[in-house]
Amino acid sequence: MKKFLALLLSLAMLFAMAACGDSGSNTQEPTGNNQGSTDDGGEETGNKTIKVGMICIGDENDQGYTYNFIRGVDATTEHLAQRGIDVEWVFKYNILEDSSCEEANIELAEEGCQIIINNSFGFEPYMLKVAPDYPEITFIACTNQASAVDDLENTHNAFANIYEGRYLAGVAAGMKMQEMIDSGEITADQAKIGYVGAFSFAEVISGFTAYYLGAKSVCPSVSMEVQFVGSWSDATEEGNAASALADRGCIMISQHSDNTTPATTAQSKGVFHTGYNNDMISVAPEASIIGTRIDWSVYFDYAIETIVNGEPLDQDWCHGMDAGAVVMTPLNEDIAAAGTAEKLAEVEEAIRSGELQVFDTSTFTVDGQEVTSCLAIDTDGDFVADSEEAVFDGAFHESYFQSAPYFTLQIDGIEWLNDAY
Amino acid sequence: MNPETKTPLVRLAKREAMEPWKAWCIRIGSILLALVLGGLLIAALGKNPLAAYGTILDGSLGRASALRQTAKIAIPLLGTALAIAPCFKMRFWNIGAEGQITAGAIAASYFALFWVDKVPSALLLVIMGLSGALAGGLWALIPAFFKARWNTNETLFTLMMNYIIIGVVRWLQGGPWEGRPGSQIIPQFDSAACLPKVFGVHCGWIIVLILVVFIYIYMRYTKHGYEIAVIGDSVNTARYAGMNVGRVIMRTMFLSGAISGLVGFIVASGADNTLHDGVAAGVGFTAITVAWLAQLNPFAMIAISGMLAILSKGADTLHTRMDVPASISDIITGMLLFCMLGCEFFINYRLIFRGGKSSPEAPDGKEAVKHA
Amino acid sequence: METVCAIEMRNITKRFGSVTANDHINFRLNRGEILALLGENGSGKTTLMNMLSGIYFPDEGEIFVNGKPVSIRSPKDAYDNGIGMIHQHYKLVDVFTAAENIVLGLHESGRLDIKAVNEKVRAICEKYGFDIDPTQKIYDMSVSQKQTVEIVKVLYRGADILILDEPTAVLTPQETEKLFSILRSMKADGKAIVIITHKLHEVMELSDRVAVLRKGASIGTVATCETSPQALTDMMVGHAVTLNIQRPQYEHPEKRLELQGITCFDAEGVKKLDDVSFTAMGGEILGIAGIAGSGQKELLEAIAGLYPVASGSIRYSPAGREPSDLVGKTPMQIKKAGVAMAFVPEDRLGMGLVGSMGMTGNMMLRSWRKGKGAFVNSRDPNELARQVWKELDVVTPSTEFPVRRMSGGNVQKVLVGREIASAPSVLMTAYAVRGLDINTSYTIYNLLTEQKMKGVAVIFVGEDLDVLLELCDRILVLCGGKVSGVVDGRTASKEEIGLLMTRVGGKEAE
Repeated sequence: MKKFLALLLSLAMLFAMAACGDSGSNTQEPTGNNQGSTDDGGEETGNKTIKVGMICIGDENDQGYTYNFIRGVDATTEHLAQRGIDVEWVFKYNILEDSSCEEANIELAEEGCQIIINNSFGFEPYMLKVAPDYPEITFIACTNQASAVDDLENTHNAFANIYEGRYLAGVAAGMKMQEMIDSGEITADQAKIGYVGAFSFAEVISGFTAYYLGAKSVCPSVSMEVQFVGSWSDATEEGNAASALADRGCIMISQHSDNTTPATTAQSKGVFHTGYNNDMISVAPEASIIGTRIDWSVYFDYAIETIVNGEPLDQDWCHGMDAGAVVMTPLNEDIAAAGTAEKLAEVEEAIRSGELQVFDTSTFTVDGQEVTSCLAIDTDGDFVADSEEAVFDGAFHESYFQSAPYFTLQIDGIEWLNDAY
Repeated sequence: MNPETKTPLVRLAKREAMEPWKAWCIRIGSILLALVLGGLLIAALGKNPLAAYGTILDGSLGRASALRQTAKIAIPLLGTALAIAPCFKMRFWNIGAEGQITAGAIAASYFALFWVDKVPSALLLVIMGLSGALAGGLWALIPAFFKARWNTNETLFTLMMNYIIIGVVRWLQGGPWEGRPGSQIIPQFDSAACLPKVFGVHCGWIIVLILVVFIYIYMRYTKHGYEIAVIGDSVNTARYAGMNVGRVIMRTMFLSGAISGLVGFIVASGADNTLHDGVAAGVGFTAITVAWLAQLNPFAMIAISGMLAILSKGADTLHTRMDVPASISDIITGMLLFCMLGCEFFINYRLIFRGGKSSPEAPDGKEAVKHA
Repeated sequence: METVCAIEMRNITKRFGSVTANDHINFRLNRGEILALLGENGSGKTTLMNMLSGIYFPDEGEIFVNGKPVSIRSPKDAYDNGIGMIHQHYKLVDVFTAAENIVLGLHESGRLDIKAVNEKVRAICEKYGFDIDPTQKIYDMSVSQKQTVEIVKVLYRGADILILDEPTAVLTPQETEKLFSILRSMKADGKAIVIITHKLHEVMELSDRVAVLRKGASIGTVATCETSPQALTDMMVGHAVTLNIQRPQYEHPEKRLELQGITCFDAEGVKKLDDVSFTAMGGEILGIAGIAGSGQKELLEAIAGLYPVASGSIRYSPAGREPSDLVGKTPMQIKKAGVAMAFVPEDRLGMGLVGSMGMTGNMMLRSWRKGKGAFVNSRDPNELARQVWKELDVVTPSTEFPVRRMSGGNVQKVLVGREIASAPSVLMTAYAVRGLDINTSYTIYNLLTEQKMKGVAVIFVGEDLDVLLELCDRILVLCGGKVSGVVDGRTASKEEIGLLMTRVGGKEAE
C-alpha cells in the first residue's frame, strides 16, 4: 500500500515537473528559433528573413514530383541568400488532398508563415477555405486555376510551360528514331512512341501532344500510343504499362507519372526512353535519352522576393523557357542521335523567341481537320470550357489565359489505348 | 538446495476486483509512463522533451484555432467508436466501419451534388444525413446477413467490404462525378450542402454528442441493448431466451453501419466538403482502439477520442515547430496506446515477486499460469 | 509391507486473495498405492494437486519427492520429478494422432521420429493393457480412449506418480471398471496414484487409503479397509447426511409430453436422435441416462425448439388445455406454453445464463420481452432475483454481482430457481447437480421433487446412476441417439442400466 502511494506520488511529481517545463519552454522556444536563423546568415547583418510554408503531396523520397519542388526550394534559398533574404522553410510532407490539407494550411498560418505554397492540384480548394481568415498571408496553389480568378487578393496560382520541355524531349526522341530509320534499323512505320500517362487530365494531354509534335517535327512518320495508369504514382503499374507498350512495338517510351520504372522497363526491353521531373540516366543509362523538368526556383525567387519587398505578386504566374522555368535534364550523348544537342539548342531558341509555337495548328489535325477554334476557360463551373478563344495567330495558345494547362484535344496520330481515366 | 530460493522470480495472480480509484491511478500512471518513454525518444533526437510536450499541448489546445482543429479530428473518431460499440458488445467484430463511413459519404454526396438546387439547405442536409445513415446501414447489413444466415466470418467479410466501397469512390472520382476532366477530383459541394459551423467547428460535434447519450441509453436501458449484451455473452443463452440471434445481429449491424454512415456524411459535408477515396482516413480502425480503451463506455469515448485528437494535432505542431519527424509522433502515440492497453493487464493481474510477501489485503481469484 | 514415500507435502498453504484454498495441509503418498483424495466441491482437492503438477505454486510449505525437497514451478518441473496429472478436461489436439499428442511439447533433440514414438507408445500400452492405436486421430476417439491417451502421455514422460482428477465422471460403468483394472496394474508396477473423486463407491472399490479434505483443511487419512461410506461422508461433510433421496409417489399422473419417432441431424448431417419415442407424465420424474453425448442435449433442445427436428412429433398436453404439437414452434412459443429447460453445460454458463450479468439480468432472460416500448423493465426481475436469492440461499454479495464470479453451486441455483419460478408444466433439467456438493445437490433434488408433486412433468438428465435410481420414477436410457430401454426407477438395477447404456436395441454396441 505504501509502495503504491509512493509510486503514485513520484509519478504525480513527474507530471508536475512536465507541466512546469511547459511554460518555461514556451518562452524559450522563439529565442531558439531566432538563434537558428542568425547562425545561418550571421555575418550578413541586415538580412531580411521570411518564413515560407511548403505543403507537399509527397516527400523527397518520391524522386519525382515533390523532389523536384524541394530542388527548387533549395536553389531558391541559395539564390535569395545572395540577395540578402533569409528564407526559413517549414515543410508539411505527405499531406492528403482532403481536410487534412486545410489543417496543414491553418497550422502553417498559425506558425507565422508569411507565404504558404501548396504543391498539388487537389490542395487548392482546401487552401481557399483557409485563405480568407489570413488576409495578410500569401497563399499559392501550384498547377491549379481557381486562386487566380477568385476575389481574394492573397491567393495565387503558378505553373510553368512544361509542354515546351516536352516538345524538346520529343525532338530528341524523334531524332533518335529518324536516325534508326535512316540506318535501316527500323522501317519508317515502326517509329512508334509509347507514352505512360497518369490520367486523361489536361496537363497530361497537353504534355504528350507537345511531345508527339516535337518528335513529328523531325520524324514525320512517327505515331504514338498512350496508356493511362490511373495514378500519379504507382511504380508497378507504370512499369507494367511501359512493358505493355514495348510489347506492342513501341521503340520509344516516355511518361507523365512519378516513378522511374518506365525508364528501367524500357532499358530491360531494349527500347529508348525520355523522362520527366528528374534525370533518369542514372537508372537507365542505355535507354534514357533526356528528360525535362520545371525549375521551381525561378518562380520561388520571384514570389518570395516580391513579397519581401512588399510588391504585388502576380495572381497567376506562368513562364517557360523564356524565364528558365522549364529546363532539360542532361542529354545522354552516348545514345542520342548525332547532332541532337545542336538541334535542341536551335529549337529552344526558337521557342524562347516566340518564333516557334509548339501547338502550331498547321502541324496537327483533329479528325482530319485543322483546328480553327477551341475555347480555353470554364467560367460557370461545369468543367466545359466556355470562353476565351485559344486558337489564334495560327496556333493553340496553351497556358496563355491561365497557368493551368487546358489543351484537351485528341489529335490524329495519337491513339489512346484506354481512356477510362 | 533450499526450495525458497527456487521460487519463481515473478508470478502472476488474477485479481478479483480492484477499487476503481486504484485502477484509475494505474491507468493514469501508464499514460505517464508512456510520456516518459516518449520523452526519452525525443531526448534521443536531441530535442527537449518537456518543450516537445509543451508544444503538443500548446499546438492542440493553446489557441482557439488549434482547439477547433483538434475538435474536428475528434468528431469522426468519437462518432465511429460509438458506431462500433454495439457490435463489439455483441462480439461481432465489425472492422468495416471504414467502408460504412465511405458508403454514407457516397450517399450524402449524391444529394449534395445533384439535389442542391432542388431543396432548401436545411432539408438538403437532413436528406444527406438520412441517406448517409441508410447507405452505411445497408452496407453493414450485407456481412450481417451472411453471418446470420451462413455464419460467415464477419471479421474478414467486413474488412473486405471496405476495399469494395473505396473502389466505388475511386470510380466515381474518375468517372461520373469527376469535376475537371482527368483530375480525379469531385468538385467541392455548394455551401448549401455543407454543415453549418457552431463555435467555429462544423456542427457534427453536436450530432456526435447527442449520439453519445443515445448509445448510452440504448445499450443500458433498452430491450435491444439487453439482447446485444446477452448475445455477446453467449449465443446459446440468447437462443434459449427466445432471441432471434440472426435478426439481432442484422439489426445491430444496421444501427452500427447507420451511425458510421452518419459519420461519413459529417466528414464529407462538414470537414472535406467533397467526396474522395480517403474520406474515412483510417478512422474506422482507430475508432476500434477508442472503443476498446473506453471499454465501450460512450462517455469514456469522449475522453479517449479527445486524447487521440490532441496527440494527432499536437504532433502536427511538433513537426512544424521543432522539426520532429511526423513518424516520431506516431511512435509516441503507439507507445501511449500500448501502455494504456497494457495497463489493463496489471489491473486484472497482480505480480508477485520472489521474496516479496503476497499482500493478503488484495482480494484475488485464481492464480494464472506463471513463469519466471 | 514396507512403504516407500513418493510424495510428502508439509504445511502447504495456498491463498487466493482472502480465500484460503489450502490451509496447512499435510499429505503423504506412498509408492505402490492408490490414494483417493476425497472432498466436497471447493474443498481444495484440485488446488492441492495442481501444486504438485506445477500449475500453482504454494504460498507456504514444502514438497518432498522421494524424500528430497523440491520446488515445482511449472508442469515441466513436475514431469522432471516424475509427477504427471490427468486433468478433468483433456488437453489434446483433436486433429493430431494419439502419438503426436503424446510427444507434443517434449523437447527431444534431433528430428522427430514418429515411428519410434509409435513403438514406444505401443510398448507402454501393452505393458498396462491399454487399448489405443497410436496412429488414430483424437477426433475419432471415444471419451475413454482420450482419457487413455492422457494417461499414456503421462507415462511416456516417465511419470511414476500419477494424479487423476475425477477420471470416472465421463465413463460408463464398464469403462470405469476397465480403468480401475489398469490403475491396479500400475499400482502393482510400483507407481503411486492419486485419484480425486467424490464418488464414495469408487473410493471403496479402488483405493488403499483415503485422504479427506474439508473446506481447505486436511481432515485425516484413513485406510480404506478400515472405513465405511457413512464414515467417509461424515468426514467429508462434517455431519451425517441422509443418503436416501425422498421419492414420494404422485397420485394422478397424466400424459404430458408424447414424443413419436423424433429424428434429428446436426449441421454435418450426422444423425443425433434416431426415432426417439417416449411419454413423459405429469407428476413423475423421468430420468434420462446415457453416456455423455448419446443425444441427451439434442433431445432436450429438440423439445425446447432449439434443435431442428427432421421428423416425428412432440404432442404436448398441458393440464386443462388443448394438446398441440411442439414441432415447428419457436423456442419462445414453446416456453410460453409452459415448457421450461434448465440445462447445465460443462462450463455451467454456456446456456441459460449470462455470465457477465448479475442475478437480475439473468432473471430478465425470461421476461425481457414483456412490456411495451423500447425499454426493459428491470423491477420485476430484480424482485424475482431477490426471492431466489433468499429462498435458495444463493451466496452472492448482491443481485448485480456477475454470476460468472459465483461458485458453481450458486450458479446452478440461480438457473434452476429461475426455471422453477416460471411455474412450468414441463421442467427439463440436464446435469442440474453437475459438480455440486452433496448438500446443494439435495436442495436441487428436493426442488425437483416438489415440482413433481405439483403435477409437473420433470425430465432429469443425470450422470450419476445412483442418483437417477434414487430420484426418478422411470429412467429412459439413450445410446447413440436411440432409446435403448425404459426402466422403472424403483426396481431397476445399476448393472441393468449400465448395460443398456452400451447397447442399442439389444445389440452390442461397438
